[in-house]
Amino acid sequence: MSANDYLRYLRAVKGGPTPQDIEAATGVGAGAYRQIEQRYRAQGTEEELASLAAYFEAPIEELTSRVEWTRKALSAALVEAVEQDAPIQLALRSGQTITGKVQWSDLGAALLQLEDGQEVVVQRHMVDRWQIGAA
Amino acid sequence: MALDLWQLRRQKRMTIDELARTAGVHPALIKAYELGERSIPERDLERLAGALEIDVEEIKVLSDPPPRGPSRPAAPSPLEGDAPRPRYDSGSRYDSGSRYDSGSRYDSGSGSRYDSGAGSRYDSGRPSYGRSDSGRSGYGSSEGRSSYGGGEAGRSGYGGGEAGRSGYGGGEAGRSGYGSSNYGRGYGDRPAPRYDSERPAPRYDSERGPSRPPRSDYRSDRPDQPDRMERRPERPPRKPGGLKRRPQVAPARPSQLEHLKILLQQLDMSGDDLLRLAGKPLSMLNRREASHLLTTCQEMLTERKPERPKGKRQRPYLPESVDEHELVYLTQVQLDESPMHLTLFNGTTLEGTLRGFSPYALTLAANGGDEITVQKLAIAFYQVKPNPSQETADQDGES
Repeated sequence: MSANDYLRYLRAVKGGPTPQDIEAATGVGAGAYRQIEQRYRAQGTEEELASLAAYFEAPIEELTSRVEWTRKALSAALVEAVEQDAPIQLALRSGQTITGKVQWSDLGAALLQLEDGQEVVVQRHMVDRWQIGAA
Repeated sequence: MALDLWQLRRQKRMTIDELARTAGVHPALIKAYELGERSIPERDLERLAGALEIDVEEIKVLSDPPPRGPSRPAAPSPLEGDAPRPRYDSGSRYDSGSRYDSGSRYDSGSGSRYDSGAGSRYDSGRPSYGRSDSGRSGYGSSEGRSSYGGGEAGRSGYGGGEAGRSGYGGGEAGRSGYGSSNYGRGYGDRPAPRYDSERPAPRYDSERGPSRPPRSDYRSDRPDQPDRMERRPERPPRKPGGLKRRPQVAPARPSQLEHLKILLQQLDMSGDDLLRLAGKPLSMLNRREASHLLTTCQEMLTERKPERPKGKRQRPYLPESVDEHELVYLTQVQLDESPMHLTLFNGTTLEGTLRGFSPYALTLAANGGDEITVQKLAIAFYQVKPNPSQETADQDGES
C-alpha cells in the first residue's frame, strides 16, 4: 500500500474526516493533504508526514516506509506482469496474500485469475507489497 | 580566375553570418578576410569553398577590400554635402529653400528649417506661420507665397491665391495648381477646390501634423505671453548615418531545427524534398523561415493523420487514467445477479447480490433482503460466484 493509499485507509478508519478537517487539525498547508492522498507519485515532506502520523495515531515508519511504494510503482508492476504473462503476488494490508495473473487493472482495482481459475477483484488501496513471478 | 571572397559571397547572395554558419568560420575572421586584413589559410579556404559550393582555386587568398565595406553598401546620407539629395519634385520645397538645401539650418544656418525665405520667424523673428515682412502669407494668403518650403524661390502655400503657386511642388518651376486657384479653373470643367485665402490651407508639413490656425492671431491676442515656439529649444541636428538598417532576422533556433528534423522524419521527407520545400538547407534557415516551415510541416502531418472519432474522450491507456474496467465488470455482475463475496479490510465478509455501485461504494442485497452499502475503501477484495440459476440454464441449453 502506498503512503497515499495508507492515508486514505487511516482516514476511513478514523471515521472519514475531510481533507480540510485534517489540514486544519495538523497544520499541513492548504491542499497539501489532498495532494499527498491523491497523487500517484511520492508526496509530502517529512514534517508533514510526521504530523499526519501523529494525527492518525499511526507509527511514522508506517508512512515513511510506504513513500517509495507508490501507486505509480504498482501500476508499473501490474503492466509488467501482463506483458510477461507472469503471475503477481499481492500482499494485502489485511494480511492475506493473493497470487494470480492480471486480467485487467485500472484506477481502483485489479482482477487476478487464481491458479484454480477463480477470479478475485483486489482493491488497489489494500495492496501493501507486490512481487512479480512469485508462485 | 580567382575572385575576392566578398565578391563570391555576394554572388551567392549570402550574408557573412550565413557564410560563417555554413562554413564553420567565425564571422569576424570572414570580415577580416574580405577586407584583406588577413590572408585565408588553406583550411578556411576549403571550408569557405565548400560553403560557397565552388573550388578552392576560385577564391583569392588575399582579397582586395570591397569598395564600400565588407557587407552591404551603406545607404547614402541625405545630410552629406555631396550626396545626392532626395528629389521629389523639381520645384518642391526640398529643392528650394528647404531644410535639405542651402537654406537649411543644417547647411548654412542662414535660413529657417522651415523656410529659407525672408518671411520665417525662425529666420528673422517676425511673426510666424506664414506672415512675411511683405505680408506674404503661407496659408492661403492673397500672395500665396508660403513660408513653408517656399521662400522667394518657392512661392508655395498650398493654395496660395495670387497665381496659384502651389506649395505641393511649388517654387517658380512648380506653379502647378493643386489647390491653387489658378484663376478658378481647376481640373477640367470642375471648379478648382478652394484652398485659398478664405480659409486656412492645411499644413502639410513634414515635421508636424495637419493644419493649425495661423499663429499670428494667437500672438496678437496675447502679446504679453512669450511665444512657445520661441521658448522651445532647438532640436539637435540629426546624426548622420542615413536610413536605419533593417535588423537582420536571427538564425533558426536549435530547438526549431530539432523539431523540424523530427517532423521531416515523420513525413518521410528526404533532403531533396526539404530543399524543394524550403529553398535552402536547414542550416541556412533563419528564425522566421524555420517557423513557417514548421507550420507547413505540421499541417502536412495533420493532413496525413486519420481523423479521430469524435464524441469519445481520447486518453492514453494507462492504469492511472483508466477507471472503466471495474465499471464494466460490475455492470455485468449486476446484470447476471451473480452472488458476490466481499472481504473487508478487517477480515469481515459479506455476501449478497449487487444492486448498485458508484466509483466509491457498492450496494448489496443480502440474502435476507436487506441492502447494505459498503465503501470501497473498506473492501480488500471481492469474488463473484456464478449465478446458480444461470448455470442451470446454460446446462439446459447445452443438453
